Amino acid sequence: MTGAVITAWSAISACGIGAAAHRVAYGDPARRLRPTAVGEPVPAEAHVAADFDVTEALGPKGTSSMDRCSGLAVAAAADLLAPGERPQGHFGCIQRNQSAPGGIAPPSGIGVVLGTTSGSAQTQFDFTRESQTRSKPYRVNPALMPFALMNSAAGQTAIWHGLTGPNTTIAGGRMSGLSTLRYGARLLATGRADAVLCGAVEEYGPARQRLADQRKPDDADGRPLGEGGAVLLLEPAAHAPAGHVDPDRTDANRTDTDRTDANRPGGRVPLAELLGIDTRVAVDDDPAAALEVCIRRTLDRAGAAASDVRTVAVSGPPGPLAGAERDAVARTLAHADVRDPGEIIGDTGAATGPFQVTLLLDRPGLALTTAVDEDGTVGCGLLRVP
Amino acid sequence: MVVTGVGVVSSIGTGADAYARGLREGRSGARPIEAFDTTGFAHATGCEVVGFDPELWLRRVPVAEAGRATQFAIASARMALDDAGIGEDGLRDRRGLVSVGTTDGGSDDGERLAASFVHDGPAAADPAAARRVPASRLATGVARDLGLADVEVSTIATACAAGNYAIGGGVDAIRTGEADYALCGGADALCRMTFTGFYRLGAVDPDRCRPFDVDRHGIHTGEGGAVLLLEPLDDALARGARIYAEVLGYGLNCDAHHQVAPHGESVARCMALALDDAGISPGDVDLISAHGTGTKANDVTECGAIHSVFGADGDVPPTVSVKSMLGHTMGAASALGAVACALGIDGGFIPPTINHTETDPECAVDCVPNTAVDAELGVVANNALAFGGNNAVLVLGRPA
Repeated sequence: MTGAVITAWSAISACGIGAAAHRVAYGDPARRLRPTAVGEPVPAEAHVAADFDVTEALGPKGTSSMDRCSGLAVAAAADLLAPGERPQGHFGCIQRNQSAPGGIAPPSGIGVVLGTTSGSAQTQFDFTRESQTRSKPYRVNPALMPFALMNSAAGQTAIWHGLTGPNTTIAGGRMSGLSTLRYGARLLATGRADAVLCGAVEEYGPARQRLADQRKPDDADGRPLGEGGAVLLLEPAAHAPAGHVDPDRTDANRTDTDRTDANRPGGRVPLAELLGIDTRVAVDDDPAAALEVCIRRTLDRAGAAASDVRTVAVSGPPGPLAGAERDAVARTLAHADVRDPGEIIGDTGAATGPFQVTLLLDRPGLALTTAVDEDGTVGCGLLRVP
Repeated sequence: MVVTGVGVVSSIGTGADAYARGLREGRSGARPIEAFDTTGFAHATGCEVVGFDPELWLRRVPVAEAGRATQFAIASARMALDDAGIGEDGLRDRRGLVSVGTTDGGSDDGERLAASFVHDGPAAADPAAARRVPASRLATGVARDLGLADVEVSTIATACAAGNYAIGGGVDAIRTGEADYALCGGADALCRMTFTGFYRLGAVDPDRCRPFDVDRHGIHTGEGGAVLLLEPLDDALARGARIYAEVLGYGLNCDAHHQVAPHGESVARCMALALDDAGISPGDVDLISAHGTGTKANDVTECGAIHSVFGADGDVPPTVSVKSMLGHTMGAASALGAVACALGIDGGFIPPTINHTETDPECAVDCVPNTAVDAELGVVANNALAFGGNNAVLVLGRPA
């Protein structure tokens, strides 16, 4: 038991903007878009979040040099904050400097924990290209620099929404979903935050495609890259009334926003309880065995039987690792319905983890999310969907 | 919870003893940068680690698979275990946490790949370098090289406060009982992109890094790694371990204000959060290891915040910047600062702020100029600030 529950989510990807657009695509394969061809200088096919334009979504102020990772994070997080939790008039504070009156946002108990692979590869590439091609190596656009850092998305999310709680970036790669949920649950358990936005973002651009092409194992299945971000709102279970179950709810008419709960600050009912997370490092280069250990131990600790797990969402890493992940799931949870966000939105790298969770929320019962990263880490998270 | 081992790779000394000597002597790690091509820059002084041999430290992870920051992290972790007198085999049956903070991760490889693409086009591929780019390699590399399977690994990428963030992550995992030990700290390699960015912002001092000095002109970029072994006090006592310091608490917050300009009120809040977590009052603090980058804006803002927290409760304690010796080692900086604090508590000394001529009246702190002093330190606060408004403050105390 982590003591934490997921109470809301939002996402941006090739499926569109917001949770509703994603539920439509998840529920109806006919509504999913095929990857589109992207051109020079690195030709490929990819699932780009074509509906998302940073400046269109956030306005022209403070966005002219903003990387797409940060834009995706700021926009996805906006959906999860009730108007009362977003300081009035705080949008645009990015334009203020220190000497301006008004100061900082009031202390907020909302933390931000975002995962990444290596930040905005495109911004880093553009910065290096300017340095390499201009008359002097320092004639770079100085506004790019903070957006090139890995913590830009989390920092921007705080700046735009006035969130002064803990603000952490975890470079977890494909483990980012599990890592941010575990870290976020610990912030709640230790009282460092009252609520945490947990998620991850991954932009699409030629720089990321170029890195992925070079990294790809020779026998990779060639799944197209995808772009997107998903953010989950994590809150302490203690806020929720004990044993609260909505008897009228069914899978078909379920939405995340049509129910309220007077005992919860944001008036939200849990979409899932986070029962446990376990990760390991496959030091013996047998990721399937390591993941199997994680799955069995997580079920044991939660007092759950493998047969109780109805749905599994896999992380779908490139190359033979995908097979290792599927093998571990097959050996432990052979009967479960296995879902893979990569089939819908492409390989969204670090963002895969939070997207996996969003795929599991429509079916009451126990659900498991697994992850395997190329760096040798594996893990799983167990959820109870009410 | 206590610190029972420290490992350091730095420009002023590698290993706990050499690092402690460097701090006591007020050694400077500054030298002309050789890690990357500095042609076209009017000045390029940095604090580079010279003579580091990864083959001495990496046992399981092939050197070619580990970027320089990962190598620093692995070496620092191995040294921390050696220093603690624990073999890696002694950790296998315990649940652990490995957390490494970083600003750039594998960006030094990333920018070399970018440069080769710009100059040579797509034909110039380097798959091994591309695989070193993801920053998760730093923490995972430590676990892999030590052969630790049952560990929670995380690379914390909260820019220049990442070291303290990573240590805080270890503190909480032990407090909640989810980990029996934590190997945590930070690592970064010199990166042309970071140097270029600070240079463009006018925040690199052409001569010397002189925090709090009236003539300061900015940072020197640096590199290195530092890892601390944290254990519950009872475990440390049970095995008769050497205890450097007790971890009293830490605080995290975010300015939520500006990308690059720190906000004094928010930094003060973070220090107050840390003192509160440690259960102490400002008057208990004997030393502040400041973020102290040496930029105009950081030092005056941070010192203002220090005065607002500590001035009300008596005198502001000595406030030093080890960056005057080490340069700004980015994600490693607050980890190196934390180790300096632990060594200061253990060895009874305050590391100096070197290169100091005249204290800026707007800073108005006793920065222990140029020469270390002997001092019995009961409680030390270690500050870290980062772009993005990310603050983290760690509080260490003398073991009971």
